[in-house]
Amino acid sequence: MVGTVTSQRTKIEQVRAALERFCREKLGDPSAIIDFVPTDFFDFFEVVLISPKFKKMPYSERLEMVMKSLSSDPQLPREAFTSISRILTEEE
Amino acid sequence: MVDLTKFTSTKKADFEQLARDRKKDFDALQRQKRWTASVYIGPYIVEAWLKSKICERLNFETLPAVFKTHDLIVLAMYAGLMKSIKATPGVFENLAVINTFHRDSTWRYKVADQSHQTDSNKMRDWLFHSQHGVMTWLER
Repeated sequence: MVGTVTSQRTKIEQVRAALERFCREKLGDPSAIIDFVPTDFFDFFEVVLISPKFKKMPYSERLEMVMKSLSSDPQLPREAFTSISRILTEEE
Repeated sequence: MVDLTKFTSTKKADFEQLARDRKKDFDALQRQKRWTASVYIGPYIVEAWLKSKICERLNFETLPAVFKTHDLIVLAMYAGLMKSIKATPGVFENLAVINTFHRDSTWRYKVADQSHQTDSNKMRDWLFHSQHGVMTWLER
């Protein structure tokens, strides 16, 4: 069980690093807030991204932008990426 | 404590019909440019399909009540599909974004808005894209 927790923590760190790259290089907001919400299933977590840059961007485009960036990030292991069960984007 | 002995009254065949019905509803709403409602309806196609698949996998006539959830990731897990979905580039991504829409309850209460055409057309793509569409992949 301890191994599982550690592994999940590693995945979250890997996703956080990828999201920081996304916010800095693609969203243009290095100070965007990145947070994680656990789910009932140890293999999955939810991502929360808060940035004023999302204003006026259709909901679907925000999600697609984040997902495409993460799925094409060579530094993010697939195993970590596929632990994201949903992405919550907020403007402020 | 979850009661594992209870079942819903909805049968496997009902969920199969429901998936077909919601697809027709999604198409009709798009034809009528009812973009906002189509975004709300679209994910139910996946939900109904996965619930029928769970009944099939478990060889039950009706869905166990423990699966009364709208979480498409959880339903895909219990339908025994998550390992292959995760291994298929494009499909997991689309399932996660459809799940994000489906679990965002604000879509239930949004008034009709033409600006949701982008969201509606992307929902169609995520569901029915010839290669990466979730329903295209599930029905293969």
